[in-house]
Amino acid sequence: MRGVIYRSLRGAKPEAIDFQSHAERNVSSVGPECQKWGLSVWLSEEDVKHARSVMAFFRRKHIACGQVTPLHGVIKRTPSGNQPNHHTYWRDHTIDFVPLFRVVMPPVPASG
Amino acid sequence: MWEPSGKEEPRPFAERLTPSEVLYYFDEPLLFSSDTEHFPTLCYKIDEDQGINEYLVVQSSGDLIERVKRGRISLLSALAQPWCWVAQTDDQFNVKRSWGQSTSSIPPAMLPDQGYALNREHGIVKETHHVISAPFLSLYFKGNDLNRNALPLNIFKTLVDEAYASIWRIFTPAIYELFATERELRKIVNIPIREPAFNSLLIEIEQPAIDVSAMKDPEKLDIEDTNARLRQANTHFLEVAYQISKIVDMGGALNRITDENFDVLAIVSQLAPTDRSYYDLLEISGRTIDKKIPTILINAEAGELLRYAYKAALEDKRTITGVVVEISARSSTFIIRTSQYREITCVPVSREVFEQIAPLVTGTQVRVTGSFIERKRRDRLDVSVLEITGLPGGQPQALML
Repeated sequence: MRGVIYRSLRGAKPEAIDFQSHAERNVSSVGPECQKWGLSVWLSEEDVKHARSVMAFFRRKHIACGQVTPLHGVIKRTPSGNQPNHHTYWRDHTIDFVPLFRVVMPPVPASG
Repeated sequence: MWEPSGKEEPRPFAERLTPSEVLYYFDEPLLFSSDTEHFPTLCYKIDEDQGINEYLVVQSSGDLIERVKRGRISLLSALAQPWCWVAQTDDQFNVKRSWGQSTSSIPPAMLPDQGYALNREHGIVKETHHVISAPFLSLYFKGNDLNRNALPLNIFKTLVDEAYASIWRIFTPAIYELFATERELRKIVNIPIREPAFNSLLIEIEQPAIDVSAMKDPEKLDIEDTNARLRQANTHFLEVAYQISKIVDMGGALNRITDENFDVLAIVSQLAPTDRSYYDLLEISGRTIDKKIPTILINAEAGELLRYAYKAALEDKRTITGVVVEISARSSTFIIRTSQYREITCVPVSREVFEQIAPLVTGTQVRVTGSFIERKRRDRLDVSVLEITGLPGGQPQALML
């Protein structure tokens, strides 16, 4: 894949843990085994905005985007009945992704 | 980690929130259905911290999940149940801590934006619930012939009539004795209704209000006491309806319906969907005085069981207490009014009871046992045992005649 991918961050700036899959972090997860080794990503700002509208959890997160090429990893559309636009990205583990990403959307201030 | 303001439950409401269907996934399930030990739920992740995940959990149903998936309702509508839990789990979905909450106490910043369907392709949908204060009582008829855009007029009228009759039947007994006649009661007690929503048909009422301007002598009525009685009646209805629905859900038999609870069974079985109804799901919810009662979900299968239980309860020999309000010397029958404000014609079926009628006067408190027959105008009891429990004016009488 050559293009931009978006990730939600744990903190205010990209860190290595933000690009580690559940399998790498040894965190229990549900779903197909291969998907546990990948990262969920958004491919457009519209997708991020919609995700933030329905999952308030993401409104409190920093969103970063990074430009990737086929050298960085591979991507696959991994839709489910409810998320036709879900994509999983498997990165090249020898590459440090932190410098590739920058915050493009800060947390949304809570209104009221 | 966000911590709810309410009191933590001493024992979490569920052991585990194992995802049974994932509706939104991003590295992990963020929105999923989970079948707990007691009822199906919809779980929505709201926070995380150091290996602990926090979810907003609401009672759910297959129908609700389908509607979310198909974009028929917004995610906010699906989560806006009157009652919810906040659950903290480990990464294996084992519930470590939980709090029962009114959904209206969840900060809007932790909930989906208004109108957004789960799937982007479904766009913006009209909200059917709002996370403002929960209604006093809500009757939600869903599915089958009912749909969002159009509702046949005859079905609308039938459902409104049934809801109207049921709502009065819930509240009238609690305050009947405060008014001279039922006509006066209905003139003075107003039941405000929120804007009905066609999705499928949602009827929500506010707490009935006393119209002081319609009263001849406002000082005669203790408004606070009347309001307390109405709240108690609503709580009683919701509590008993929930117990009944739980027993039916778990395949239990409703074989111990007390006279006090009989009316609730009658109301719920009347409103519940059956295989022949225009709707296939009824949701009942509302505000109670101090206890948490989840949304009561009754599908057509449960509805059939409820009607069967109601019919069986009718056929059972029943003991009913009440006050004699009319005696017919000509037909040797008498009419009693129960504490649930139901008038029942009592017909003696044994010589003993027949002979006992003579000393009865209006106002005598009695306990009658016999076969119950439901009738359109006034129910009938074929009395085989008659006991006088009090004389007019409240004087107790232990003597069994």
